[in-house]
Amino acid sequence: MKREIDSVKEDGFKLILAKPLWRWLGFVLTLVGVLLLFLWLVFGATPWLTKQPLLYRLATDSSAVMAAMPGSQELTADIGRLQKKMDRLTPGGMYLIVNTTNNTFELYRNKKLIRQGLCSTGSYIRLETDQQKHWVFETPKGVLSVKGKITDPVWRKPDWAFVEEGLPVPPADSPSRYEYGVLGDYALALGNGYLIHGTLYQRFLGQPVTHGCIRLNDEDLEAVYKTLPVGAKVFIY
Amino acid sequence: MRKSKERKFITIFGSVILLLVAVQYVVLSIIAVRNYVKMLYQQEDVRLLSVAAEPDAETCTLYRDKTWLESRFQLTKADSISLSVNLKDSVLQLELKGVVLKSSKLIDFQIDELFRRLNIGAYHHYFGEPARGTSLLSTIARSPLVVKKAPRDSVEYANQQHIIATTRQEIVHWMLTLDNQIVLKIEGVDTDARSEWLQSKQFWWKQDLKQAKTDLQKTIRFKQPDYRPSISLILNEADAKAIFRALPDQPQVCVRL
Repeated sequence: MKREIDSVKEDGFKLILAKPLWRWLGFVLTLVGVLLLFLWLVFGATPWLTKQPLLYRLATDSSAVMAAMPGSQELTADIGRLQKKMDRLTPGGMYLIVNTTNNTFELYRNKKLIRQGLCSTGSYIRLETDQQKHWVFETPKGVLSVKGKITDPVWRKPDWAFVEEGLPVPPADSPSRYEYGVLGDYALALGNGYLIHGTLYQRFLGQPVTHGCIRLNDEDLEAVYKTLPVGAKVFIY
Repeated sequence: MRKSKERKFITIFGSVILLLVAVQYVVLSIIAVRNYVKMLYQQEDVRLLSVAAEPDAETCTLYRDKTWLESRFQLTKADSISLSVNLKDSVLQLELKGVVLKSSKLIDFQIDELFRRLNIGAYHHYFGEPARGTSLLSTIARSPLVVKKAPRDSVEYANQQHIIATTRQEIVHWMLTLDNQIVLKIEGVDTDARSEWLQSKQFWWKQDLKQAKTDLQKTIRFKQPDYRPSISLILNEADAKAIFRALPDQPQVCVRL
């Protein structure tokens, strides 16, 4: 009786395995398993194995050159000399660092940070006209210097200021080009028309909204104006 | 019945081939690392400077300090912004003419096993002078230019949108390959944006996949895959973005382990 039951069970099992569905499942499972093993070998096992310290061990026999290596005292002296050289490169006076990505500034005096805050820099807008003209509103990066200092600056509007508002561009000497009181109480010229100046739109400080100039709030502008002499370096990145 | 046999044959044969390729890849990758290390220590400059001192010996530390200052000093002669990676103090710096423009504390970093075992000669070979970046890949644009059409008249200008996108979140990861074959992997981390984990990983998976594809192609031709030692740095997302955007196309980089 038991043998009969076993035989039926065995036959049933064979029958199930013989069904196309089970064969397909076996086929798919085998492929998935192999694929997983392949991926594990390539992305798991290989990086792990190539990290093993044993692979990087190498005996280097170089006792002959050991005498030529400088001693600790010599190295310490060299380090001191190099450190002094490096320190001398940082301007001793006043300088400004502007971060155009985070729209922040840092003012230094004698290598010490004396003021930091928010500013606004170039918007990275490329203004294009139908006449194939274009302007890119980007703050220049690198080392610039203060070329001049102005009190109560007047903005002489360039062509793009009219173009971006859909207005006709007036002649170069037109009085409509001049705007008073929009640049704050002070401005520091950096060359090529770029200025550090104030703003009426203080809520936009910390955001890239300018046409390339650097905008500061009134207090920061006054501090920067009074601290930086003509010729002081302005590092922009 | 015949079809079933064919299928079985294809399954077994295909699986065996696939696994053989994978095993071949593993073996050749190991050989590639080993050969790279051997070749490194056979180089003239490495052999001349190699001493039998342990990497943590005092002389070694002083030598690394000196090399670091020397290479940073060399960078001051360049007119463009450079990158200094100081792993001893966990600091990443942007420098221009010797002036530190930005200093960012690293949250974490990882270096290849190769760098843990460098002797003085090999250390000098890699970090004795500034390296130059040869390729730069990133998840963000270097100059995020937005093209705007000039309005035809003031009516069109009045109808234009003048809203500034202030809350734009970007995943900041970038990868800089240096001319001395070292790969710098920089990951910007923003603790508030946990939901972007998958999106942020995608960049690295894509790079891994691209590399694996090239390596597997070489493996099939019985060639050794490329071994490129890497340094992975994790820092604040805003700093990672500011540093990336400040760098020139082929930045000079100096590293202190």
